[in-house]
Amino acid sequence: MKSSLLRVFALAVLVVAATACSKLPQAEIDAANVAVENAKAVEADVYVPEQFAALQDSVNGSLEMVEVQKSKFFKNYKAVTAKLVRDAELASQVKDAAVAKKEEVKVQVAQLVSEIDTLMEANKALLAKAPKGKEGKAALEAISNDLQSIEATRSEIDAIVASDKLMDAFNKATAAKEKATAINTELTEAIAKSKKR
Amino acid sequence: MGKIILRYAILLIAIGFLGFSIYFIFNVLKNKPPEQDIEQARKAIQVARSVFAPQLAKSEFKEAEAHYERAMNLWKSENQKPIYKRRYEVIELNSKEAQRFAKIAETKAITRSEELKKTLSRDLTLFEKRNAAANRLTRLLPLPKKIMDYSHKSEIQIIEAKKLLAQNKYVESAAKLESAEIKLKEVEAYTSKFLKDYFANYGKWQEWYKKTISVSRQEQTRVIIVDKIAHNCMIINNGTVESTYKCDFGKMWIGNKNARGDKATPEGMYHITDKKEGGRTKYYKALLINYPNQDDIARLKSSKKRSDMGGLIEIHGGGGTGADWTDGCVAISNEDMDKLFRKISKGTRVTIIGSLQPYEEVYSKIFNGGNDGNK
Repeated sequence: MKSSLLRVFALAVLVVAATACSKLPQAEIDAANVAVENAKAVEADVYVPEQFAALQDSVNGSLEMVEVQKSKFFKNYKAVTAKLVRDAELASQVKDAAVAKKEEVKVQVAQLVSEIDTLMEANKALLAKAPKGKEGKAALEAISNDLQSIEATRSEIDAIVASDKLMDAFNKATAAKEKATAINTELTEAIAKSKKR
Repeated sequence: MGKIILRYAILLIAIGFLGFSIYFIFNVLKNKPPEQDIEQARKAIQVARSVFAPQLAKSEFKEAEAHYERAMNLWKSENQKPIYKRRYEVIELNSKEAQRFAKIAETKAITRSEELKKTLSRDLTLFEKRNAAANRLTRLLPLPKKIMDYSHKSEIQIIEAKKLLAQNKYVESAAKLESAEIKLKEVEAYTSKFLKDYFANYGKWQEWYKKTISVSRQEQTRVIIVDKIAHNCMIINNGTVESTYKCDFGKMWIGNKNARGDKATPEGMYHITDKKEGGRTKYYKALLINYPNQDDIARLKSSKKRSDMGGLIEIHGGGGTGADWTDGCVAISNEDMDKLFRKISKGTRVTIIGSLQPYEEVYSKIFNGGNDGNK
C-alpha cells in the first residue's frame, strides 16, 4: 500500500517537473518582433523587399512553433527559442541591408542629379553659342523651353529626395537625364543646321 | 471491515481516474492542433506575396492575411484553455480559407501580371507616339506655357513608366501612365481645339487657292502660294507646282495679322510691289507685298478696333531655319531666295493661306510624324 502511494507520488512529481521545465520564451518573442519593427522603420520593405518578406515569414513560422508547443502537454521551447534568437539576428541584418541599399540609392540619385546639372550647363553653353541675330536664337527657342521644363523637374527631384522617397527620386532623375541628353543632341544638330544656312 | 471499505474506495478512485484519463486522452487525440493547416496557409501567403499579390490581387490577398491572423489569434486563445477543453475546428476553417484566398490571389496576380505586361508594353508604345505628336505640336504651334509644361511633364512620366516596367513594377508603371494620360489629354484637347478653330477658315483658303491657280493657268504665269501649316512657299507655274521652299513665319503665325508688332503672318491674296536687294534689305533679298490689302482694311474697319495694321510684309532671305522668328514676314533660305528672285517679277500674285490640306489630314500627319512642314 505504502509503495503504491509512493509510486503515484513519484509519478506526480515527474509530471510536474516535465511540464515546468519549458518556460514560454516571451522575451525572445518580444525581441524578434521589435527587431522586425526596427527593420520596417528603415523601410526594409521598400529597399530590400524580398529579404524583408523572408524575415516576416521566418518570424511567423517561429510564432507558429510557439503555439505548437503551447498546444502540447509536455512543452519544449528550446528549439523555437533558438530560432527566435536567429530571427532577431536576421532582422538586424535585414535592417543593415536596407540602410546600405538606401545609401546606395542616395548616392545614385546624387550622381544622376550631378549628371543632369552638367548636361544642363552644357545645354546652356550650346544655347550661348547659337548664331547671333534673332533668326538663329529663335531657332533654338522651342528647345530652350524644354530646358526650363528639365529645371522644373530638377526642383521636383530635390523635393522628392527631401521627403525621403529615394526610389521615386531615382526613377525621375533617370528620366530627366534621358530628356536632358536628348535635348543636348537636338541642340547640337540645330546649331549645326543654322550654321550651314 | 474498515480495510474492506478502504480497498473499495481506492478501487473506485482508481476506476474514476482511469475513466477520466481515457476521456482526457480521447479528447486530446481527437482534437489535434491545426499546425499543418496554419503552416500551409502561411506558405501559401508567402508564395502569393512573391508574385506581387499584395499589389495585383489586393482584396484577395488581404482576405488571406486576415484569415491567417484570425486563425493564429484563435489558436493562442484556445491554448489558454485546459487541454481537454480546446476546440480547433474554427481555426482549421480559417486556415483553409486563408489557403484558398492565397491561392486565388496567387493565380489572379500571375494572370494580372501577364496582362499588365502586355498592355503596358502596348500602351507605352502608343503613349510615346502620342507624346511625340504632342512635342511636334508644341514645336509647331504658339502654345501657352501651361500646355507646354504638361507636354514636358507627361514625357518625363512616360519615361519613368518605361523604367518601372523594365523593373517589373507593373502597378507603379500603370499609375505613372495614368498620370501622364491626364496631362497628355489636356495637351491634345487644347491643341486640337486650337487647330480646329484655325481651320474654320479652310473654306476661305480653298477659295483663294483655286482662284490663284485659275489665274496662273489662264494667264500662263507664275504665282506664289504660301501654305502656313506646311511651312511651304511654292512657285506655281501655269497651274502646276514648279518649286517648293521651306519657310519661316512670325512667332504668332497661326491666325491672321491684325496689328503692327503682333508677330503674325497675314493671310490673303496679295501681289509683289517691290523687289529689293543689296543695301535695300538686311535679309539678303526681299519681295515686298501689298499688305494690308483692301480685305485687310475692311476687316479692321468691321472689327471697329483702332489699331495700326502694320506693313512691310515681305518674302525675304535668312530663313528656312525651322523656327518662326520673323515679325510677320515669310523667310526662306538665301539660296532659295536667289531662285525665287530670278523667277518672280513685280505684280506676281502671292496668296498666303493657312493650309492646303484639311484639318483631319494635317492632324493625322502630325500624329504619325509625317511631313508637317519645317518642324
